[in-house]
Amino acid sequence: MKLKRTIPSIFKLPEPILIVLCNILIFGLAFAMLRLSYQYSLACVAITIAVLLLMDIKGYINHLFSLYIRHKKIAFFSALLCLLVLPILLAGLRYESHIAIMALIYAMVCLGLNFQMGSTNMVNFAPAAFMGIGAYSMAVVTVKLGASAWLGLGMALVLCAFAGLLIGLPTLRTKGYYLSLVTMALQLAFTQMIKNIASVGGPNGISDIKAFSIAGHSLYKSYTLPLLGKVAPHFFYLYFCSILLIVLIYVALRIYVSRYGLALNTIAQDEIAANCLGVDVSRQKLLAFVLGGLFCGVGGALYAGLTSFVGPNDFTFSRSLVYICMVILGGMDNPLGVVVGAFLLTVVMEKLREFADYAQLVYALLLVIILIVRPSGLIPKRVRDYCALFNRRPQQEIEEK
Amino acid sequence: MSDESAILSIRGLDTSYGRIPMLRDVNIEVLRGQVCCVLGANGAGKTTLVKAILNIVKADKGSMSMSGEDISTWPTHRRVQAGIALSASAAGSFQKMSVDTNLKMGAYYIKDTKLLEERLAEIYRSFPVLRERLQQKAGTLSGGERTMLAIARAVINKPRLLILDEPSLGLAPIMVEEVFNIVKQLALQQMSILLVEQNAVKALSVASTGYVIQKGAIVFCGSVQDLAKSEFMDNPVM
Repeated sequence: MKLKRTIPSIFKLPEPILIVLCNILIFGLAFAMLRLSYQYSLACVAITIAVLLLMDIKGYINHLFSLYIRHKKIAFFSALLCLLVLPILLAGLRYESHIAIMALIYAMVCLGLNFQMGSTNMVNFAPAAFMGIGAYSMAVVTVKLGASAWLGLGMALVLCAFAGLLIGLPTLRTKGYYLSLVTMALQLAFTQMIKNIASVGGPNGISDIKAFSIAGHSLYKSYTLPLLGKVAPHFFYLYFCSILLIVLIYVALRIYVSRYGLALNTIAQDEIAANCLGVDVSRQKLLAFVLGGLFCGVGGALYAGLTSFVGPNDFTFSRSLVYICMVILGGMDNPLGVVVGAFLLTVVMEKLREFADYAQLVYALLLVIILIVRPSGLIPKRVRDYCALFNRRPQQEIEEK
Repeated sequence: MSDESAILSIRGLDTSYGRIPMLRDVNIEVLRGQVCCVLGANGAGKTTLVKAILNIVKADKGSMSMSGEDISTWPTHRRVQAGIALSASAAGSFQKMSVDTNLKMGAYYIKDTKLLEERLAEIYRSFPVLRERLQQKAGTLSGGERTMLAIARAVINKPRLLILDEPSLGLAPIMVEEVFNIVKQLALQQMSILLVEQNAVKALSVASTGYVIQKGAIVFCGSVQDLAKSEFMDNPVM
């Protein structure tokens, strides 16, 4: 094929080794961004963004993607190994571990938002409200009812799915800007409502939320481990969040390549055409909202478990905007891109704290620059290849015949 | 005409856009295994009729049945799943997706991968043009190729009724020829087709029964031989 790009000579390594090296590089960069002081960390972010843009222009990202798909087992296990090593490197560092966990939680919320915003082109301005519902159900179940955090997570899932359905129903009648306005109103209403309900603490929120525990051992506690010595309380929580994120990414990718994902994409492009091909548009839109709600709910419950406090100010409209920015920056409709976007923006937000009052200004400037240079995001969605990631490809077999 | 031999029968269909009436008391029967054409000038209500058959435009009055089964209250996707397929400019191809994905989207509710592969292979045989362009985005196709894609996407399901809404629209004469060759082939395979066209000469060459629609009402109904002799064929707008 003439479209196939030539690979530069450094990439002439055997493919599995190349993948492992890539994974090490990715996680090394992530570690560096978390660990280094703000000047170097932000420089790292800038370089990463520049390299990603350059790679995309040259077409290397697509090449890399197909490489990962071809050797998905090696890619997955080496990435898993790197992810398991990361908390060990961060073992004694409280602040860095905290940022890492926040990045993971935000990534979950963004994955959820991506179902609506990326796949179906329904810009939902209420991801923070969904996350808030998850966090508050966790808080109410553990503090007010005194039940375990696991029950809180379950409750968060149920309530968020229900909220997704509830928010999804009016949006079936609206499209485009009007749909966004409806979700915006819901987000604002949520914050006001929480502030005015005394039984959930009103403006003071709920504190002393129980952490997750397995067989009596809390996941959020400082333990003394044989080789690492005394580790930060975030150590096991970071593992816990990583595992959940892996599960959620898997689910998101699985949905993306499935008929449902395809149906969502077709609705985004041409609703009437999708309907004429037998797609039940209402059901698919509701599904996008329920799925998004579930992902945000998991994020919210984990957030409550981490901070052990929830208040209305954690789930405001401006937070929703941050999640939307993460999805846009990472690349709409690309689950992996969204995770990258969430990580980068979380790091930037945290490291910009050095600028104190100017942090928001610098943050806004950064976003404006990125959106001008790259409106489609760092790792934009690729032309979809139905069945490519998980199923075998029917087409090749036909060509053989 | 009995309901059993008719794949689709429409009785007393009325539609309107807001307060403006569009179709008035339309009766149409499409017989099994036959090509039925509906002719009409611009703005006569041809596309509205097609949209009403798929419930994209809601009917105000009238009933619709498929092989004797009443489908009047069914939503669009259910009608499609029951075997009505549409190829029209109103429901275009997904421009940002590859041709391959577009075709597979046509077979959206075929869940059996093996069956899907067989159907795809058939489509590649009958539409060799598309086969060369599988990985290309549908938006980059030429007008003729896009029409081919729309038809291929509709027939991949082996529909019980294929609705073709102006397949010749905006095509060069040579492409019109090619499109109608495909329609002829489909007719030979005993597919029931409702062909909605402005190009009367071409439409009559493949159809067996014909309707003429004017200002939202059916003004002629009969065999194509009668239609060819009728005064409607003298009208230059058609």
